Amino acid sequence: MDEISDFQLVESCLEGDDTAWKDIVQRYQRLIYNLAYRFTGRFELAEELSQEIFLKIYRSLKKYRKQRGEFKGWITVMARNYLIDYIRKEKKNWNRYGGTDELDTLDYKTDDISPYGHVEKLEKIQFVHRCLGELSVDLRESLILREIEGMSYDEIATQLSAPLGTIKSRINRARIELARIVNMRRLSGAATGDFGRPTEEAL
Amino acid sequence: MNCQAFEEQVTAYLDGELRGSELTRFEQHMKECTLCAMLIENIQENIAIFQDIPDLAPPPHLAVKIMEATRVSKKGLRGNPLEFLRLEFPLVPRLAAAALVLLFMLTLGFNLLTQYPADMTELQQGDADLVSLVDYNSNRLVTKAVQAYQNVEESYETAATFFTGVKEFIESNYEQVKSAFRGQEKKEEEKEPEPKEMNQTQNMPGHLSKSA
Repeated sequence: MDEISDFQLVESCLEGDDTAWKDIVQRYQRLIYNLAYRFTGRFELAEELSQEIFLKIYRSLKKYRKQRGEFKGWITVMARNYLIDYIRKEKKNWNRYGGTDELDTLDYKTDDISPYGHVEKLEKIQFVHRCLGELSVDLRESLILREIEGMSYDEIATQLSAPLGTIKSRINRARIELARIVNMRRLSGAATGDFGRPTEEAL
Repeated sequence: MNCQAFEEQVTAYLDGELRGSELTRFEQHMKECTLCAMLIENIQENIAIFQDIPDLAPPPHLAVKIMEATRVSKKGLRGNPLEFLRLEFPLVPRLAAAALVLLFMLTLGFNLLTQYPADMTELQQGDADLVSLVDYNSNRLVTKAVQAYQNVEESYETAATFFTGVKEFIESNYEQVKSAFRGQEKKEEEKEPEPKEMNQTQNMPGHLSKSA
């Protein structure tokens, strides 16, 4: 049986069909959750933001038109905008979530690595994300879009409404500052053992 | 090349944009300066970490939580008695209604504060002895209270007449105005190039206030 198209689901949803909305959630929760995780590096926060993003999508469904393109692209752009706004608003609370204890309670599912390797990898990501939180908002959002979302400089300039030269300069500074912060935190973590559980490699 | 010039070219180097003598000078500095070499190494490590973020399975309860959050939101929309204003009317009529209410309140307040009974001036010119003064003051208070009540009554009557007129006008023109809004909104939406959510004020039809 052919899968119902996204557009059909949206139409049914607008007519009040709860099952259609449930199907949309099932179909795209992984995409949104991973996007939120890549932006924040925190499981609990990614979960909370995923809920908020889906709520926003739900409230904006009537604005979706097929001629605007793929539904997947539409919700990705909406989610990305939401996450950028979040970074700008929540700069003070960036590090409030996610002790490394979070890692112990998760059900890891990826295709190619052992559970041990997975935990180590996630710890590294979380550690670098914490360091990322020490950058200014301008530098952080530019770097996330470049390194994590893999966007081109032109796309980032459009997304953030800033000149191309400014974006290149921000990314350059962000890379340098982040490298220094990571280095410094690894050294202090090695001394106190209380920051981000740096890996053996890092020590 | 010094360390500052080196740092300015870090991203160009990592993106493979340095060529010829620029690249030679950059690599030469990297050989000579341990700190700058370490900086490049650390940046490359961070890039590798970011690029290797695994695709995670969402928590099993996430979909349930999302459905629950949406259900609450939907309930909230249905439960709000003023929601019909938000759904049916764009911003201009809503602002106009708010302005009318504000105007009504201001008029009412102004009337209460400024209108005095006509016989007050006559009383002020009466006897100045103590008894008269007490009588005058108590009489003034009672008269003022009665007058205030009359002012309120008058204002309410005026407002009731006005809102009845507005209601009749809306009822007689509702379908026409509604179809005009929807037609305009449709045109605006077709023009929008981005899927990014737009503020409702940006979609406001220009002819709206004229129609209303």
